[in-house]
Amino acid sequence: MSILDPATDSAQQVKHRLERTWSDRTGTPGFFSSVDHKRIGHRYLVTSFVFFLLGGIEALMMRTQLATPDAAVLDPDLYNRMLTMHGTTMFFLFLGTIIAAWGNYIIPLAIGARDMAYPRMNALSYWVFLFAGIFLYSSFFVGAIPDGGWFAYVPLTTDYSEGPAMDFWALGVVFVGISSTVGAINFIVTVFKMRAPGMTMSRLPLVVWSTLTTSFMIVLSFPAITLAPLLMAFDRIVGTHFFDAALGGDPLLWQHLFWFWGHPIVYIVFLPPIGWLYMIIPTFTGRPVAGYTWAVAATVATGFISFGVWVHHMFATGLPDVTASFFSVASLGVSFPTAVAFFVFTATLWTARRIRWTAAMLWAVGALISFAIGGITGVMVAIMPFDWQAHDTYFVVAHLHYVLVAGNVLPMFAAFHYWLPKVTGWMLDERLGKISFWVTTVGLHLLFFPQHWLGLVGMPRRVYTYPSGLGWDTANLASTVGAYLFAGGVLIAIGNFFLSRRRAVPAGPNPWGAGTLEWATTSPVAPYNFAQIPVVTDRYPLWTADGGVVDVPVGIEPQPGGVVLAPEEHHHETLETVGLDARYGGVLEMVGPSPWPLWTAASTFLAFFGFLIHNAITLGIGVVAVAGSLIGWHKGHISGEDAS
Amino acid sequence: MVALRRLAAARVSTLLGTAVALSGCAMSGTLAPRGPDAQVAAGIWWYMFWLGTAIFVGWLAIFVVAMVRRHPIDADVEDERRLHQRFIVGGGIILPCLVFATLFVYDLWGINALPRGDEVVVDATAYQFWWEFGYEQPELVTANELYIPTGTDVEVRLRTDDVIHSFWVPQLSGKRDMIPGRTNTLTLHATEPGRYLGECTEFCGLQHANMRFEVVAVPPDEYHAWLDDMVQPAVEPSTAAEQRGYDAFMTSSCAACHVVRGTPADGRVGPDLTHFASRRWLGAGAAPNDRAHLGSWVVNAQVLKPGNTMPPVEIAADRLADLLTYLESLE
Repeated sequence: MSILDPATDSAQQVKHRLERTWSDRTGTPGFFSSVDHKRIGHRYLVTSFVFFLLGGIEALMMRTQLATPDAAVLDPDLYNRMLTMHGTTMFFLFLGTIIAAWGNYIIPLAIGARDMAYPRMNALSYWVFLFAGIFLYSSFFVGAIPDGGWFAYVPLTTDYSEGPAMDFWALGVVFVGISSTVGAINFIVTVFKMRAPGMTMSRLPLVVWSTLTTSFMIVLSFPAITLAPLLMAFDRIVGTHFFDAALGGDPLLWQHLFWFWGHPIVYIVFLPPIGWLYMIIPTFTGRPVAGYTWAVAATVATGFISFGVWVHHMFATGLPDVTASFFSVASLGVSFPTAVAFFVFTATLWTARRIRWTAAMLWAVGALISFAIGGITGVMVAIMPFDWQAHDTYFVVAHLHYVLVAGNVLPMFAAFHYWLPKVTGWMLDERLGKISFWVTTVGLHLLFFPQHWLGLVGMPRRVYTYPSGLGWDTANLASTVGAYLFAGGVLIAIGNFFLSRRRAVPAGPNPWGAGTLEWATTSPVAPYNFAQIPVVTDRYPLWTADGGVVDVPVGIEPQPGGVVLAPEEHHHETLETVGLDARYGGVLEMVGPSPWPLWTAASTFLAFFGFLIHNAITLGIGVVAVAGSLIGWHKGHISGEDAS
Repeated sequence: MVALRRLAAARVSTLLGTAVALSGCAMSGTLAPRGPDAQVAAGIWWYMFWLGTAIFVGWLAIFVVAMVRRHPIDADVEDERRLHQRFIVGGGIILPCLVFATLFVYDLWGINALPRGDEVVVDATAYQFWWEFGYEQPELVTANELYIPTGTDVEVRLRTDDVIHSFWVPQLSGKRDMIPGRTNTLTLHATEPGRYLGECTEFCGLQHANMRFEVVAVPPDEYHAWLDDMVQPAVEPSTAAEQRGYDAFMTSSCAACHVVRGTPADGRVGPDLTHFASRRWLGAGAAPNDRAHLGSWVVNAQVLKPGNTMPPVEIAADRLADLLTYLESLE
């Protein structure tokens, strides 16, 4: 720690020193050893988006097959593989990781920190995600694409599944779970220890609250999705009988374990996006969010309730009515925090002086309105006599896609329009952004709204074809047209990205006049985030109390006497704060760049690969390599330079 | 043979469509209930539909007004805070409380209003990818068509022979899973005679899409007459062609997998064929049961329903014709 001495250090010198300290090394080694949260967040964004496109292509293939009755575009085998990979990709490699992507990029900035609490673990969680994605998708190259459905009910996926297809699935899911868990622990510690001084829990931006809540949910729910596929892999590869009814196992055990994770994950993937909307909507209404405490309570309450509703996926399994009723009530209970959130947004807009209809705002409001439909159908399927009809039909397909697309994908595009200028330093085109919004949204509703009706008139989900004459043809065709429209909207958004990149209209530090700390940095953000760690006195530090916008302290200029933490020795130093009120707790010396997270992830890949091909030697080498990487990781713990 | 296969493949779609349309089974699912269970569900659905629509439209109206209106620039901050509070408590607490109260009562009432009787008990066993139905009095096994008497609570005991399936007859009742190692029950009750579409609704593998059945609800006297018919062994071959077909059946792989009661055929792998010709569908709804499709099915069942258990059968064209004639005689 050093105190800025105006006699010897100019602000420029300090920035120069920080730049040298926090920058990655150049070239390939720098690329592979970076632990900068912004660079990791950037990689998360790109990788998640690629998987979003892959999952989208799989969805388009299915919709093409279902456009007409008795179609032969895909054979049943390929269709079932696409349906499995669509669900698996979207849940494990997109929905759950896009929240980590924005979390990584935005959370440290929004709390005034220089990095995540565990920079190397952060790199590890990205590399593990990447390798797990490669692991799952390598099944395409050996012709063993998973085919048991994304919730992989036993015994279809154990005794009745041949070849390594479901081994890829089970091990891939365990693999990617490591990434989420590591990332969640990192977020929790970051939020508790790395907030800028004065950023009390009641000044925490709502996106941080939602990320904190979901991180706890991940830590508590992911053990189930690690355990269950591991037991499945044991049943399949080692010959155990955890799920084999004939030998005393129980297929329902799988469902309980799966949905114990499988329902919280739904809230895990839409709470942070609601958090993004909590950031975006106040910015464009120019007012603080209404009922901050209500919003926090709703977020946390959703997290709690999410652990008491998993059985509503199992109402048709023949559980006793009393047991099932409990979960029916709990599922209805989720409507409280969700309704609170909706009326927080409504109240915020109600007292707005002037709403700026930017593309980001349009995407955000569109997301809310669409999400409301998914919320209402969610209440419907909590009612058992109706759920026994709607369960496993297209009604549920419509419901879950409304929740997930409007609760995650549309907010993601809102977030792109809102935060990408911060990431890249240039603005996205507003007009194209609005066009892509309208095309995507019209597509979304044309795609999913008719599916409610399809479910009600008896179309089960996960069928590769259907006969004509059941009255399902028109709605299916409309749905497919909607799917292509939706894809068109996404393509326009991608085109917007590349066009805007070429134009490169500079964004400046705070193009939207937003009030939260991430906008106090330069765009793109300097490697050290903040030259001087800000001291926070307000929920919207960049806004004055009367709701106007004050001059933005770009990069928070180092002030004489302020804490700048730019030591001559090039150590990564930042502040640690303690307590709910973020009191000054000392100087943290952070670890620097390291290639070992990459090696750890690669070795883990090798170990999983050994398990997959039933080869104990490969598995052994992988495990030894993991241990070796961890030793290397910790050997040069203190200084980044030593750790290479 | 190739021509036959091509013919079958080409005509399957149109034929199936026409057949379903003509069959008179109003296959409009949940929205056309023909039994008390489905009636309860449909009642709850319409209640929730109107309530949900009202809430959505009401909220959206407020939301749109919120977007359009401009709040006075000099509004008092305390007033604003109270207004926010009213919005959030009204919309986030009071409104869900009202919805919650009526819905939960409806939920519990609905569960208790479902039929639970067992005046008639039938067994339903699911296989990849077809259904076996068993009756106890008289003891009898059939496949893919479930006859029930109207106006009667029929308890269906649901089991599976392999993976998890789910038993759903949208017009009569909600669905129930068939899980290895467990027996679930479901009560069907049809208020009107008719043919009702039944479907597998749990993803069960390659041909999950073609795993349908029909519930045939008939008045009780007709039902008993049907049982009396069904309990009879298969009809004896009565013509020379049928006799040759019978021989072909018994000497080929057919008999190893199928039961024809009253004959040496006692395989338990595939559906019981004793009264095969009385059924309307092949392969659990994969194709209508007519000579062209039956021919295609016997020669290579993988064409109409790829992934089902029945292997292709090597059979000469003239023997095939006799075999089909025999099968068509099994009324």
